[in-house]
Amino acid sequence: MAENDGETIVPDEQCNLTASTPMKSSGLEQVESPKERKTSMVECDDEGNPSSGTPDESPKQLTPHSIPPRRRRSPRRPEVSASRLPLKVLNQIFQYLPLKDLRSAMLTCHSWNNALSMEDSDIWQYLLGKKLPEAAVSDPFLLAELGSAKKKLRAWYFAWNTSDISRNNYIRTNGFTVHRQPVAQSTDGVRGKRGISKGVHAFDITWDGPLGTVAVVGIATKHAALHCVGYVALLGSDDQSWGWNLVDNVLMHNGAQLGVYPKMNNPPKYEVGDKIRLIIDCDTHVAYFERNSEFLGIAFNHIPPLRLYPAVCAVYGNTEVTMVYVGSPQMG
Amino acid sequence: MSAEAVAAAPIAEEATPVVYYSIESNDRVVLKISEQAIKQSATLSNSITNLGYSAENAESMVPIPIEKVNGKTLKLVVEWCEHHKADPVPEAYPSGNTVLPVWDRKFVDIEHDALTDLVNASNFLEVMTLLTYCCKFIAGLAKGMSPEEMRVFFCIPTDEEDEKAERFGKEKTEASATSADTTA
Repeated sequence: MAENDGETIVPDEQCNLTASTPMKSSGLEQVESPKERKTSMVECDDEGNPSSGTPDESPKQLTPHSIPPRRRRSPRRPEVSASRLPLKVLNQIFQYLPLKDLRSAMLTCHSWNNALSMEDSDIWQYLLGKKLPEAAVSDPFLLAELGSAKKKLRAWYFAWNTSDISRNNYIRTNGFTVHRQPVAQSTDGVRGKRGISKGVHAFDITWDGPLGTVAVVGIATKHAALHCVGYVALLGSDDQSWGWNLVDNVLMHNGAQLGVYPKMNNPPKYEVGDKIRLIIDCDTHVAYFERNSEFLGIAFNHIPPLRLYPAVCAVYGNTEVTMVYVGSPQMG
Repeated sequence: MSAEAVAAAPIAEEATPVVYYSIESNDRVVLKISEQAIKQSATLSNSITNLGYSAENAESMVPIPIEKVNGKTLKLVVEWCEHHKADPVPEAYPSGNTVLPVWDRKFVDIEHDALTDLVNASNFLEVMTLLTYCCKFIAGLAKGMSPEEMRVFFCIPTDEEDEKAERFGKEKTEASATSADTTA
C-alpha cells in the first residue's frame, strides 16, 4: 500500500508541474499559449495511462483546456486534423472542387500538396475525363508526349480558343486542331486560350495540311487581328504580333521582315507534319523555335512585357494546324 | 383449418424478430446494429461473415471490436446505417455527380472534429455512401476559400506553428525529465 501511494504521488506532481509551466510561458508569449495547452493535453494523456487512479482525474483536467484553443482558432488535436486524412479520402473531397480551389488546396499544407502533386492520381484522371473531349483522349498520338493526366489537362487549358478565332476557322472536336475552311481571298488566324507573361513556356505546333502561299506560326497579343482580306502574312504585320512564315522562312514583326530563319544559307523548307516547338521566355523577353527537337536560334528578342498568346494564320483551304502546350521545355 | 393455422403462425413468428449484432468501440461503448443496416458497411459485413456470426448466435456472441473508432463517432455511423438500411449498397464509389439529400446534409453538418472523425470512421468501415456525402459536404465548405482560409477553417497548422509546437514539446519533455531527476 505504501508503495502504491508512492507511485500515485509522482504522476500528480508531474501533472502539477506540467500545469504550472504553461502559466509561466504564457506570461512571456501569449501567441504560444494555445499550443502549450495542446502539448500539455498530450502529456497528461501519456502520464495518465500507466496509473489506474489518474484516468478519473485526467478527463476533468482536459475539459477546461479544450475550450480556449477552439475560440482562438489555433491548431488543435493534430491526430484528427483535416491535413492528415487518408489519400483516398482527400481524392474524394478534391474531386468535387473546381480547379481554382484545387490550387488553394495545394497551398494549404504539405500533405494536401503531396496528394495533388501525384500527376496521375484519381483526381486528375477524373478531371481529365470530365474536361477533355473524347476525340482527344482516344487519339494515341495527339498528347503522347505528355506523360501525366495533369499535364494533359493543362494542355487543354492552353489549346486553341474556340471564341478567339477567325470566322473561317473552326476547332475540330479534339479541341487541339484548327481547320481552315476553303474561303477565297482570306487570311484566317487563331489564338490560344491562355496567354503567358512570366516564365518559360513551350508549345508544340504541327502543320497537318499543306502550307499554301502563307503559313505563319508565332505569337500575338490580345489585340492582334486574326482576319484580313487577301493572302497576307497577317501574323507579324503589326506591332501586336510576331510571326515566322514557314513558306519562305521569313521572320516578321511590325510589318518588317527580320530576315530568314534559321539564319543560314538556304534554310530547309518545312515538311508537312514536322513538329515545331515555339518557346517563349518571358523573363529574358525572347522567343525561338525548335524543329524536331533541334534548336534553330533566337527568332525574336526585346519582346515587350505583354501577355502573349500562341497563334497561327493560314490561307490554304482545308489545311489544319495542331497546337499542344508542353509547359517548361527541358533545357539541354 | 387447424393445420393451416399452425403453418401460418411459424411464418409470422419468423418475420417478426429483427437480428441485431453488437459492436464495441475503442472506448468500450457497445452498440447494436441490425442485420439489414450492417450491409451498408463492407468492413462490418465481412467481419460478420468471416468470424462466423449468424442470426442464430448473434445474441450470445461477444461484441465485434472496432479498434479505430470511438463511441461517439460509431454511434453516428450506426444511426446513419439504420436510416439507410433499405438503400442499395453501391459497388464502387459514386462519381462526381452525387447529390446530397436533405437528411444527410443535416446529418453531416456537425463540428469539424466530429466530422473529421466521421470521415475517418466511414472510410475505415467502408460505408461508401456516407463517406461520399461527407466528402461532398467538406468540398462544399472549402469551395471558394483561399489557402489561409482553408487552414483556419480546417484547423491545419502552418509550418511555423508546427515548428513552435515541436520546440515547445521538446522543452516540456526536458522539464519533465528534470523534475523526475529532482524527485528521484
